[in-house]
Amino acid sequence: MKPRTSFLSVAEELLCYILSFLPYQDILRCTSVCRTLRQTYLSSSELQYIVEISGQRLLVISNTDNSIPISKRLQLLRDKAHAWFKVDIHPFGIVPITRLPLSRENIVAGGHFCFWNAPGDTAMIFPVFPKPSQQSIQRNWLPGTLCSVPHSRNLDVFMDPAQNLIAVAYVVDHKTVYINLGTMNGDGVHPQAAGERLFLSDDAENCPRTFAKLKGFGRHIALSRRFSDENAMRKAWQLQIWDWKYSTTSGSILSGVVPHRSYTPIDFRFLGNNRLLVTTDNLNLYSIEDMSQPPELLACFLMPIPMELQYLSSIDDIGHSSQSHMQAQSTMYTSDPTHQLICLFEPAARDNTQVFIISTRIFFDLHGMAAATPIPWQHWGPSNTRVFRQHDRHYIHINGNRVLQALPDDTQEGNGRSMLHLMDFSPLAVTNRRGLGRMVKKPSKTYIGTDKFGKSLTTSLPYVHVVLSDRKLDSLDSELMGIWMDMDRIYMLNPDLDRPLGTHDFPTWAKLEVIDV
Amino acid sequence: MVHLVTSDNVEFVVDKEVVERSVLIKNMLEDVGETDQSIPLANVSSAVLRKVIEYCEHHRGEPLPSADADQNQDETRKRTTDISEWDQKFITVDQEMLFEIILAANYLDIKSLLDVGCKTVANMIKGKTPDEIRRLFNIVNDFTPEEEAQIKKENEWAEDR
Repeated sequence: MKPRTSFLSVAEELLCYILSFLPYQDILRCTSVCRTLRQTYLSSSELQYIVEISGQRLLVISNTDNSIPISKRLQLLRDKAHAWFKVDIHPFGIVPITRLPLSRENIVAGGHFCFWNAPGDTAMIFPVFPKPSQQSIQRNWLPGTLCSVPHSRNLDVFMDPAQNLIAVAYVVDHKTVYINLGTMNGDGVHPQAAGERLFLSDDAENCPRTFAKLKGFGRHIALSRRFSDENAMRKAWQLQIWDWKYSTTSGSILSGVVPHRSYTPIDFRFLGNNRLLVTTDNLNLYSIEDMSQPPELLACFLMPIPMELQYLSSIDDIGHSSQSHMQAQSTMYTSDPTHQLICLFEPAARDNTQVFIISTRIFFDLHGMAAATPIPWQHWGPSNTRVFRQHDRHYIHINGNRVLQALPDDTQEGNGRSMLHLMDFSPLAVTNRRGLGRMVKKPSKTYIGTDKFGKSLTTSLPYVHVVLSDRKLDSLDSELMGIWMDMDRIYMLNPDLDRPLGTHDFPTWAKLEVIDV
Repeated sequence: MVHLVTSDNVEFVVDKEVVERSVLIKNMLEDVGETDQSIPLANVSSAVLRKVIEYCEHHRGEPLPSADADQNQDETRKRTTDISEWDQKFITVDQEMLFEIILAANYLDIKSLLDVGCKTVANMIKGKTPDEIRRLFNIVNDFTPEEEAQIKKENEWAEDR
């Protein structure tokens, strides 16, 4: 009689196919069932690839070129992760930058360096050592060219090189606010836009003194504004979100009263395609599925003490937000919005601010939480957060699950130099990259706030800490103006000391040092 | 009509449109052309073929996945284990039959049926501990205690959260 057909009697190829439908935790559990299943895993690049991707908290971009065999992709993925921990990083090149305003609100996204200079009303974008397969954009906007509507003043500009989108929020006659949607490399309306400009809802308050912030992610764009009446007695904020590819109007509006201490607008950021985080005194999480409705409050996370917080922009926000025409060939993965880091800092604390590094998984793992009941810090904060002290917020940047910081070299030979520190919070790095970097699982204590209203905080989100190099990097000797990183590179901006320093009206000279990882 | 003969020597007469959901048989028929000769299926028993034909009858007329879409699907599959209601009911069989259907679908090259079978097994495994999986499939733990401890340590990171 023929033996009964059972799970282990099917061919290895079929076992592997069955396991490939499973999430990575279940795949790993199967490897400890018996030798046959362990062997199936060890001989399958595909299964190991699923585990590696999930462990690094990455998502595959769906239009990725499939011609590279999976075993090769697995190797590339592992090599890349290891490279971030290597001590011998090598400078790749230096880009001289002229006409850089001293505003320091520059970004590096999608392989481009870009900035908007509000006082001078200029903007600039250029590629940084583009890869051969990458399409790139290079452009200078002179005063008056970002928005050519008469009697208008620009409020904020959002640039997304990955989608070739430049959005300009402006106010006409000190009254009405609009957002223009253009392309970065041309003058027309953006081909995917629902119209030339976005309109604010009718009941939007119009007020002469307005601070505005414009941000986008994928198909969403949002504008937050803060206004005060003549006597600056009453301060209110309003936030409207549009699906700019679908409609030029929307009913997705939030509003509130600005906490009285606050001097900046409230801040917000997108979390993937259908969630939005808004910081007032606390972190408010909204669902933004339906643009005809106000966002739905999912949860409110209380901070340990009332704080005025802003998000540090990260390349995840824009650089990899969509399956764009530009990045398709150059990037195969994007970081998983459900397992990224966000970084919050206090803009008011000019020197020596605390930065909160928070894992976004808390914003997706909500079961059993009632939206109406705010979640106290003790319940969500300590184990999902790490607080660092950083004397300058331009010296910290996040990407995916990594944090890059420039910190003073406090050894004897330090002499005021900075050193680069990399912290990797992805689970694979924390538990499985033995011998690379120093694992930090111990809780750390930080004192936050002022002496009077302060509080000692214990935070314990684990990470692996690597001091990137003790080798000489030009930028670290100089006065750093900012650092960034993406999946492949570290960027360091510093003034060109051989040239005279500039002012707001007279742009400065700078150098962007690029390190390939 | 196409004549199929199973391993236990039972003859089935099936509509060409139905049986052509099997890429193996479709290719065979294309090679041979119109024929009254029966096709022997040495790897498939009558009990299993009855189930396979039931599946193909129900899904007759639905478009077959192209090889192209297939490749793309692999990347974006997102490891979804959703199965339609009818298919779920259809695949509610004992374990031996389930694996027989998977083997037959693989041999006959019926991708959608293979997926239904494999997803069903995946769903059975999902969320279970190694010990529960052993009991489920009657598997003997053939690791030494040292090996087991070692593997557990390697996989610790995934169980953390």
